[in-house]
Amino acid sequence: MNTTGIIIRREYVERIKSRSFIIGTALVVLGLFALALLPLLGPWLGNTFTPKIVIVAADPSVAKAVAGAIADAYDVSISADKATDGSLPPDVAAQVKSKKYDGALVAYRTADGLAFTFYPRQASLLEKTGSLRSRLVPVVINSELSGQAAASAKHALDFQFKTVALNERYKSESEETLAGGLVYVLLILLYTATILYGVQVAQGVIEEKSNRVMEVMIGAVRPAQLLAGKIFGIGALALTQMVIFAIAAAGAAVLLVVVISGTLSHADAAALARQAAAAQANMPNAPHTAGLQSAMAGAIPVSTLIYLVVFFLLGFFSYAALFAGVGALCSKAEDVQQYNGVIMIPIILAYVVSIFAINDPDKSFAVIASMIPLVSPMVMFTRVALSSVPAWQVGLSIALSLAAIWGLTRLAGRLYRIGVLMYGKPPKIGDIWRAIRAPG
Amino acid sequence: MLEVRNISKSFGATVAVSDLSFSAQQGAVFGLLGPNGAGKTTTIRIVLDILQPDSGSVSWQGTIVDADVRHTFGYLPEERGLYPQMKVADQLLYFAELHGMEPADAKKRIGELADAFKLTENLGKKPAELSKGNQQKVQFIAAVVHRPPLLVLDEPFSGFDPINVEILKDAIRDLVRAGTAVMLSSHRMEQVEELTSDICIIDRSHAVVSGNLAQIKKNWPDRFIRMTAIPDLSFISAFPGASVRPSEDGYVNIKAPPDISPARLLRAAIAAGPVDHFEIVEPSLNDIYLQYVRAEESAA
Repeated sequence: MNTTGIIIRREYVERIKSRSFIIGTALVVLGLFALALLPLLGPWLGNTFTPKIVIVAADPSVAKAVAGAIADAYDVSISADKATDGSLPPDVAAQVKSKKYDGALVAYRTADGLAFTFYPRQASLLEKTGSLRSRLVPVVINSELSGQAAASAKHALDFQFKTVALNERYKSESEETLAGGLVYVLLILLYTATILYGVQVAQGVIEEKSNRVMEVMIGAVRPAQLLAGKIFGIGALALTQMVIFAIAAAGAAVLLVVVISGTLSHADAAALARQAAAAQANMPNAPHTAGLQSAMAGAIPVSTLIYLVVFFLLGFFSYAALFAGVGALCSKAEDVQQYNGVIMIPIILAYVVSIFAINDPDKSFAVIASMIPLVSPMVMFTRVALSSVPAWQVGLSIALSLAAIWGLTRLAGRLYRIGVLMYGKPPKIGDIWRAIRAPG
Repeated sequence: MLEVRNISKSFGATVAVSDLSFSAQQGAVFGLLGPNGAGKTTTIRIVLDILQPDSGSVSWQGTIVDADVRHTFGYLPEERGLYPQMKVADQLLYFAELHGMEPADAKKRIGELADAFKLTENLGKKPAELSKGNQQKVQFIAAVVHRPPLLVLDEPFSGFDPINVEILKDAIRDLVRAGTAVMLSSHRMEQVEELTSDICIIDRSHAVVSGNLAQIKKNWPDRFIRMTAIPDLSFISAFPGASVRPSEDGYVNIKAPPDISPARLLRAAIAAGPVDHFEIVEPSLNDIYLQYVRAEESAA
């Protein structure tokens, strides 16, 4: 094996054997599976909480109609009291206060027709006011209108509205929202991974310096070999961890499907289905559940995953070179802070631009940013994942990134040569600039 | 043969090494001596191609030393360093492989060296778990595991206890017998005197004396006399230029310039007290060192 290969192997093997890597990876894998099991906790978390509502109505027929309209979501009782206006009869108020009921609904008649006053005891019931109101609409229509008029009024409230997208990528708005959300999650992954593994590169260099093993190494191999060994070794480690996470995530997703279908086969299944249907009928964003199902089926597109790996590697190598150069200039981990800006400004810029690019992947700012090295890996990933980017743009972006990696690695090599045997106070930017420009 | 010709190196306004030349032969120990801050470590780093000299050249067997040549050298830096969490055996194998050894050959050699240094039961441990002396031994093995033709040792004995110093000296002698060229630096003359055959003493970046140690001693103008420590040493004041250094072992060491006759000194000494022992000795390396290196510097 050649020298660089031997160094890569050490960097990789020693890290993958380390307790921190094993524990960290295991925790994330366990976390993924724990998330998949979360729906099982539904009953305990109060997802199926059915509020107890007592109805005070003007007459029994109204009480019956109201009870029928809301019985699917509420545990309904009918009070013997008669409502003449919106006020709450004192005995019912006492029952609610004593927690016999979670709330009271008063249905009375005014000159205009049916009117309602809702008396929730718990704050959480306030959230349900909207859905309660929409459930009562048919009751009002039935009480005021009849025959064709009633049918027309109901139709006006619930007419068919279909969207057939002519866009190749997305068949519905929800699918686009979902893809955006997915890219957002992957972006956070890219951002975190680039920083985490980059910091490992810097730490590795500083550790070799503070252990003084650096001088032994530098007496045996070229600084460039040491640098390459570190970056490739940690890069391979990063890929390994990502593959482990990807496999765990896929496993967790399968588990999630099993858990959800298991939960559905439960007695609650019918109620859940009815809730879903009602939600779909009443809420504008209803197709969400359908979109979720299709996303579960299709998972993440393979091309997105390939791009994720490609742009992670481009970003990682760009920043790893910077991190290594910075590490070489520092004697202690705290010294890194002095140079934080050099690294963090482009990476935060890349992240922020990418977030904006999720909504407008083809706006000119996103197109330009997707060409600028250090910023481009994240932005171009966002664009290719969400839009049809011309191949030449993708190619140019990758080529520019590769050129930058070549340049940054040479720069890091220079910093390495001047820095690895330098101890004490880290040098000022001006000193570094002179050292970089110095020949030899 | 290692040949260093007219190397100079400055860091900004500070001159670290100035026009230094010397050579180190196979099968011998070359000592680069001088006080702290004289430029020894800078010279060593230039020899190993870690630093580039501003002028001058370093060659090994006639070839200018570059990354490929120094790849074969062995190096024990003054600041010792190991990977604290990597098992000793893995670590030694790593250094051996970095110097181009085949794993099977390297494992065999590591076994032999560990045996010689009585480290065999520590091979499975991490350096962080070893005593300081054992860490030093591991470090030395790391420098010689690949059978380097040139071994460079920067302050090799610092941090070793006397027993381990002897173990280390024996190991160096074995390597020299096998034909290795050894270059070592030190500011402790008594520790390297019996090992080195050629020396170069540097002070404030300049070479002040260099050459074969035996020749230097032989041609030394001053005479060094070792005699019984008599109570009254005032007779010395009659000999201008002579000085006395008392020692703890019942003897005194007298340094006398060449124009003083030892016979006259002996007569004066006998007149002053009972002298059982009177001997003209070669200057020690320390005597030579003290002659050349400024007093305020050697205190460091």
